[in-house]
Amino acid sequence: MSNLLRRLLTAWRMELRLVVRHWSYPLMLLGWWALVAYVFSIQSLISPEAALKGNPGAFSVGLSALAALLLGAFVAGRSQRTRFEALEETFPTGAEVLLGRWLACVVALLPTQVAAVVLASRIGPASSLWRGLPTFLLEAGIILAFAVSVGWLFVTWLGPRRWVYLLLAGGWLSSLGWEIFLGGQGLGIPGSDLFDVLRTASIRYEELWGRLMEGERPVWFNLFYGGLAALFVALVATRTAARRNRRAPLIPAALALAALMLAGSAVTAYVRQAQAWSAQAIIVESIQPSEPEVTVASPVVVDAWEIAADLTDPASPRFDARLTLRAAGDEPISTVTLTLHHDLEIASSSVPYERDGDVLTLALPEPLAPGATQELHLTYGGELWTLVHSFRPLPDPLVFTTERGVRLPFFAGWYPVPGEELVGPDASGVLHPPGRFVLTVSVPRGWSIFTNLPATGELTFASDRATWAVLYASPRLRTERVDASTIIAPEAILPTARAVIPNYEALLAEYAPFFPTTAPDGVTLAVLDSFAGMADHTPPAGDQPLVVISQNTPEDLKENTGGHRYFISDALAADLWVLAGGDTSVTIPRAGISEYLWIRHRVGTDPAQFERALLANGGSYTAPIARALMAIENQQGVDGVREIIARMIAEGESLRDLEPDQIATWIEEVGGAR
Amino acid sequence: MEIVIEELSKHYGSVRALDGVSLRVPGGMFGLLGPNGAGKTTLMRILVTLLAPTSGRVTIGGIDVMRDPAKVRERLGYIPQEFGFYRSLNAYEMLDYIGTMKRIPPRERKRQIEAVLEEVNLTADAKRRVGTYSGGMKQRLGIAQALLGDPDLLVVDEPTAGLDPEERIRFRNLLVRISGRRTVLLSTHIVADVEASCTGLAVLRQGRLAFAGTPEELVERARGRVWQVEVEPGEWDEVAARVQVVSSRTVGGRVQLRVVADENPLGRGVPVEPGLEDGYLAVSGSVQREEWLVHV
Repeated sequence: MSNLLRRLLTAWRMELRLVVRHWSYPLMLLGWWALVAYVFSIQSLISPEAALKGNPGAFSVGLSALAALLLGAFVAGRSQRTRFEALEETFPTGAEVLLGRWLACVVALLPTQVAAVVLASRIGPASSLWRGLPTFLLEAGIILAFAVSVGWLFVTWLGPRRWVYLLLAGGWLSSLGWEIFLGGQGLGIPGSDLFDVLRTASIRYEELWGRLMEGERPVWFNLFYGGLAALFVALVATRTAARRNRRAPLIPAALALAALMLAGSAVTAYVRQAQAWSAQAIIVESIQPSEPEVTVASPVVVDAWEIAADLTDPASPRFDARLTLRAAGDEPISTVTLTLHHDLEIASSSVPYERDGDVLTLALPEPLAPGATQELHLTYGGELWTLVHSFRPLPDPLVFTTERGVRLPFFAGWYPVPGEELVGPDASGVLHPPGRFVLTVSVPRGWSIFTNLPATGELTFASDRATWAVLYASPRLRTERVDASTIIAPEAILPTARAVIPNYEALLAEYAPFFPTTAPDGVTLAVLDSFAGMADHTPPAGDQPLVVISQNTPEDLKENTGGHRYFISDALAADLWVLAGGDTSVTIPRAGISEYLWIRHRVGTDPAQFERALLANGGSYTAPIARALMAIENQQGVDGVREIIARMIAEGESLRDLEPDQIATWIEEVGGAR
Repeated sequence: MEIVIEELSKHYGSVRALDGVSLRVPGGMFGLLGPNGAGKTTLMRILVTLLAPTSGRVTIGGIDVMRDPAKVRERLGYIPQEFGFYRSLNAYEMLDYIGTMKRIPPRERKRQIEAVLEEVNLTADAKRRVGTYSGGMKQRLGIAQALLGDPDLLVVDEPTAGLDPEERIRFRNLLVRISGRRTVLLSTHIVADVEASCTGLAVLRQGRLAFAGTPEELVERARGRVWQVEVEPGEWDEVAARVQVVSSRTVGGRVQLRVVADENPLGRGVPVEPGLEDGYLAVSGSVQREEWLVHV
């Protein structure tokens, strides 16, 4: 071992020992662990990787940055405080001692992350933990190294004064507000979240997509802080070397320059991406569809789609679409207007066409008589990347085709739809008229897909009355059968989702007898991302209710709280309605049945208790329907209610525009309630 | 190891801590005397590479301190006026750390640590935490760390301040013992320390060199200028204002003074044999007297 390395290691070992044997060190660790444990306890934790790469992990690192600032300052001033400096300055040493001691600080702080790692490991599969751990430790190391360097630099320049600690703590605290001041809620400077050490505003980890939504920002973030850490250490070394050797400290100065360039390049790249994304983003007030409606926006409807989606190159998928067009108006038509995302280039078309943005105008070979149909064959493909800026400080890429995943929500325009207003997040509340939809998908090895269409084979899906279709593909997505139910979820969430399934099945068993002609034995549960792009009420998947929830929901559902169980209840009731033949657009009767089933589930069939619960439910709009159904049950039992619901389904069209009071009266009349 | 100082100056703004000091230290144990603020510590800090001079040149064993401070540090042991250790370590651990920093190979380091601990009589307390040491023990540990690496030059700045008389004598003897094979530069304002141990010395006053030579030569500077005189208590102030009073004692209601003066004070002084302290006052006081005469 060379003398230089020996001195570095000795300095490292000595400093580490002085730090960890100090009485305050275990106290600091305990305090930090307790805070991190608290933060973990109040968050919905979906997987170890998500916990480490998401907000809890970032909080743990950001919180430790405060300790790192203070420890860096404390250690930097140790020699001066103990008056050992007068001796050690005359030793024949160089920057290796500084580096060794600085490294010791960083290493001593790594245990502050133990709580985060341990708590994350308890969430889910070890594979997810191992996937997230290296990145987490690397990023923690970078931030801790940066913070130690800042503390060190301050004390080197200002001396080991007590107010320096206050200054550092104040700086750390104020950094929490920089993003708010400079970012979307303040001056609106793109990329200002780079200065948010806690990264509370910039984290975009999605279990399904990983850090896809953050683009290259994590890399630049790490290089920026890594560069700054190296810069500050090099500056301290430069100053020390210049003072001690009385000559230009070429090596440390060169390192400082290199570190400065690294940090500068990183901040430039970070800001450039943020600016580019902000410039690209479509600004919308809301992108969450609440009650999507079917709109006939064209004199032409599509009776059937037969689409083969080739995602084997997920960054640039190819589609082969065969459409059956029908003239829906009273006049013959010779041109057809469809909408297809403008970034999807048409490779071939069975009829001539013109394009203007998303609008595709097809010239039919012969006029299409009212009610007549025409086959259309299109092949097209391309890369999609749509950023949407809504309530969050940074835009979300809602539509994309990348190597890490494919996300094609129903408003993406990834298949031709009739009319001109059905594409884009602004149109997210609009669905196309129902038609038969057959989808065949090919994906890279190890990838799985999700679509709202019922599966008819391993990678084929079909629905006779599809008003929308989504297509998600990801290497992280998995499909698993749990008894009669099916889970489609990112691999790491499968265990959590599995635990939720019994809640669904229990309610399903309780609710199914109220609906005629259907007896689903399980549910299909899809756990996707937390971005918009999914209609609230998905149609059933085959003969089972299909419930789509976001990545953060399963953990809440596992807790079995009232609000979340109501969500399950409503989703199941809506799909049972459809499975029994009900029309999705007949919303009020369906909502009344949902409320009736939910309150009955909670308090039973006692009329007085039911009434109290109904009133406690806020005297909801559909309460009269629920009350009427309960009256029927008390007189005629479950069979009586089932008969009423069967009549509601059969006569849905006539009930569509009635008020709840009128529907309640109708129920009493039909059921013969006394 | 020879130290050569040429026209060395150190200015802090308008304050001249050192002003054109030239001095040659041939080796052995060399004392640097001077009152507080004379510039001793500044000179020491320049010699041990902690401070850069404003002008002038210093070579230690032929190595230019300003140009090649790293090389000087390899041959240097330093005990500053004020220093400390990591309180939670014991003496052995502390010396082991310092030994590594001084580039002593591991096996040699262990031998040297045991030797210096023995030398400063701390072997029995080597495993005690430094935080529990008395002031004297810390000073001895300071010497031990300075001796590690067997330096050619040992620079000792005001080492006996704060020590009790017994510890001071022990410390002084220790320095003499170790000065046999190296140069020891001892800075102090206590004349007795130099008198008892140094073969050469220099006197600094107000940043300037007032004397450089042997202790005997310094004593000779006072020969014929040291008087003993008895004065009335009322005459004390007048005498003290005009001559250097070395010592005083009261005898039968009168005050017996030992003074350094060029002429017989009050015409009734009795010449006495000079000592080193008289010599020190003679050379440092001469500067003062010259200034007094100019003002008068």
